[in-house]
Amino acid sequence: MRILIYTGKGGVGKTGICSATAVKAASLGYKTIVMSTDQAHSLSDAFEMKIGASPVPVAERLDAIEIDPAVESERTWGNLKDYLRQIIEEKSGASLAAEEALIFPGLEELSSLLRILDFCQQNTYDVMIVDCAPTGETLSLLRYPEQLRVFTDKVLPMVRSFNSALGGLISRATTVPKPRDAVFEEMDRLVKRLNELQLILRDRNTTSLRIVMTPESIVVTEAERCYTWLNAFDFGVDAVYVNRIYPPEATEGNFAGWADMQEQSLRRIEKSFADQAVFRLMLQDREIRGLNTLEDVAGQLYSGEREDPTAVFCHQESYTVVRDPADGSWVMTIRLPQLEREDISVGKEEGDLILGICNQTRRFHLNDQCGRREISGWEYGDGLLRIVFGA
Amino acid sequence: MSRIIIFTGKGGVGKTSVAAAHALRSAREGKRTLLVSADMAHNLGDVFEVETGGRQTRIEDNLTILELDPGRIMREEFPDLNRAIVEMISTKGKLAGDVSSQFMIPGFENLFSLLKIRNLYDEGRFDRIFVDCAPSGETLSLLKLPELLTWYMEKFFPVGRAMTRVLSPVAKRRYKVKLPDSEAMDQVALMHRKLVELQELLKDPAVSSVRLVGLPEKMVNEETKRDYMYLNLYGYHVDRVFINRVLAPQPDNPFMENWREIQAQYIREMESVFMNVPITEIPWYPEEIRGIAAVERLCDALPPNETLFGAGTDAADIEGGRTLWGAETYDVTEDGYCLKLGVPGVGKVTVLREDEETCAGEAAVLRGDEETCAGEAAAENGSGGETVLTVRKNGLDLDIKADNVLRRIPLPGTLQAAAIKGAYIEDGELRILFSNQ
Repeated sequence: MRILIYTGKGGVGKTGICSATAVKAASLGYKTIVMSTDQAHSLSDAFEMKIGASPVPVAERLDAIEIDPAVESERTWGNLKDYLRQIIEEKSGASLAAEEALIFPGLEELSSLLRILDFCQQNTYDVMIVDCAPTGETLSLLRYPEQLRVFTDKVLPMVRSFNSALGGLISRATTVPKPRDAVFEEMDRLVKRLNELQLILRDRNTTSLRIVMTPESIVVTEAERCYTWLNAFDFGVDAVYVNRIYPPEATEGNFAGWADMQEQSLRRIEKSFADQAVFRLMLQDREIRGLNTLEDVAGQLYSGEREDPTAVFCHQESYTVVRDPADGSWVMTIRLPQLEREDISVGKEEGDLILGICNQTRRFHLNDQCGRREISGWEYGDGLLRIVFGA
Repeated sequence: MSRIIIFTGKGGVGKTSVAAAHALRSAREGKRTLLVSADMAHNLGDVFEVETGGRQTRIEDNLTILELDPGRIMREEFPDLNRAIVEMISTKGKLAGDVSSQFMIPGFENLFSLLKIRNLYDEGRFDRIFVDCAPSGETLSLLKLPELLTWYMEKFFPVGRAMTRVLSPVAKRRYKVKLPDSEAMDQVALMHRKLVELQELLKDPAVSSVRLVGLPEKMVNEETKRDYMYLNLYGYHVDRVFINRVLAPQPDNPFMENWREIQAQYIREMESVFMNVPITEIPWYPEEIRGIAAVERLCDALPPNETLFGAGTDAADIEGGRTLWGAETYDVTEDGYCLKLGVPGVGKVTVLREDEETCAGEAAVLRGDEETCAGEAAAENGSGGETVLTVRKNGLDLDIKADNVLRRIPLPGTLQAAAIKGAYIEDGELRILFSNQ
């Protein structure tokens, strides 16, 4: 199965582009599903029909589904939630605010993304197109399993054995109920599934990430940041989309200045995303809704050499590791576009590389050659971080 | 007493510019004004065209700006907590290289920024503090955090602390995990106390209010609605909504004129959601807001200072009797929840199924087809002049219609799957029963 994930800031018109792409893929003969993880049920709007939490046919060979984050999160960590609910209700009684406090936006989205894994395992579609929820950097949530590895490998088993030995005692002393084993099993299972999902999402031939933006400087800045992030976490971006480019007839009179600004942003996009396929879509004369409009937009986006939206438009590894024959050291090169040197910090711990990027850390598991050497230096330039592992 | 005004809304809607315009107005009124950015993607410096380097930077008389660095706040104010977390997650007890100095608990950035705002308030050097807050989703999940932590802290913390002391040697020997020591635990308690104080401050309507910034677009509206719902639910005081980038009539530009009409629908939807909150429309200046002159232009679109900086919502500022509608509250019932809402002079209420829509339906009101609707509504309400409310669940929202007025209430996540079991009027309040079954 081919997985295309559309991401980008809210309000850039992701859903329209996603839906048009799905219509195109289906028209080329692929059995396609388009999935939205967004609470705001925007696919229903785009296709002008009621779409629910199970797949609904919306066109020939095309199904659509709107994930209900509440249902998914119950499925994913219902037990943990029940446990937290017990603690809260014990303290302050039931209330709607208490119930809502158990909904964490980021975590809800993460459990929605696990549905990708389900569809992948069922293998009934050729292409899956995902309209990612606009809040937060959803995909960066996938770094949690990596950061939590220490917790799940060490802390969780410890807490669990303390819990079975002393849980009754603690529970009596605190009047906090002792968590059932199911809570721990659920967390184990969750981490396992997240890891499986990560593997699928990191496979360049299966999954491509596509960033949607509008030609406005603040949106472009955000898209650049997102691009850096996705590279740092080793996800494959193969195209970017510039939506809502004002056509000449729109920038008459008052809006002449807007045309210049837009032109500047477009030039910047060409530079920042030089390796990527850049798709452009004009601001339409209406909102992008209904099958006819979607077909029309699909035609504007995909033609000629770029007829097939399921192609991998840019195949690029986030990092490479090579041996320097001169002195026998190993050099790891990581693509980290658009950063400043002071945004980056590099460290090593046992076999892992610890990379700090603007207040966030990522843990890379190194190959043996690098893992047993120490870092002898690093440099950053031209969007590349080069780390040298001494001879 | 100083005032704190927090600006939030989806990224890219012009939150920073609106906050900057407020601050400039305030400073020129002679008030000592601080404009703080708690957004990780700072752009205050860009708006005023200065390098701030993370320090308080003077822009002109009475106006200071500050971009907060949450990592620094955590390291400086909670050093033991920072150390304990780094020790717990790393295998050797120390993160290699300079990484540990950059480590931040994932998702906690905004929290540390907010804690700093409390300090700035206590120092009392400013009459007004304006906060440019991170895009909404993240901010809101943090607003819930003190609640969750309180429940946990009061129950579990004292015993957990004693337990940690006892278990710490075992953890270290058998599991190679370094549990937080008592200095770190002290700081957890300190952080919690500060959070509770911060929350009290931010929920005190005499001191703090929240202003939402949106754009007249479908997806932005959706998010602005949800933000408002959560802020209400958690007891924050939203006292104004700004709709940015509103197109002026474009007689010579039919393409944009068409978009102006699309915008108008979304503005009407906002009016139906923010029934009791004043709305300010800000015209679209087709340029980026950079430099004092651009901020000054934006100031012209804001209401007068007494309206802008006074505490509490000024009813006179809301047109068309929208204030007659109250804000919704929720009670727990046996099998679900009861939504309560103050409504103006209503006799009866009918509940429609989700798939029903009459001509006088919600969509028509938002389209602005007033005449057709008025006719039908008059026929419906024919006898005795008593207003009949219709209530209908509409996707994630609840639509309540009286004559030509539509009130749209975004529902909390918990109620989105629930069914309406019934509705009635009692004590001048509309009560709607939601059932989980």
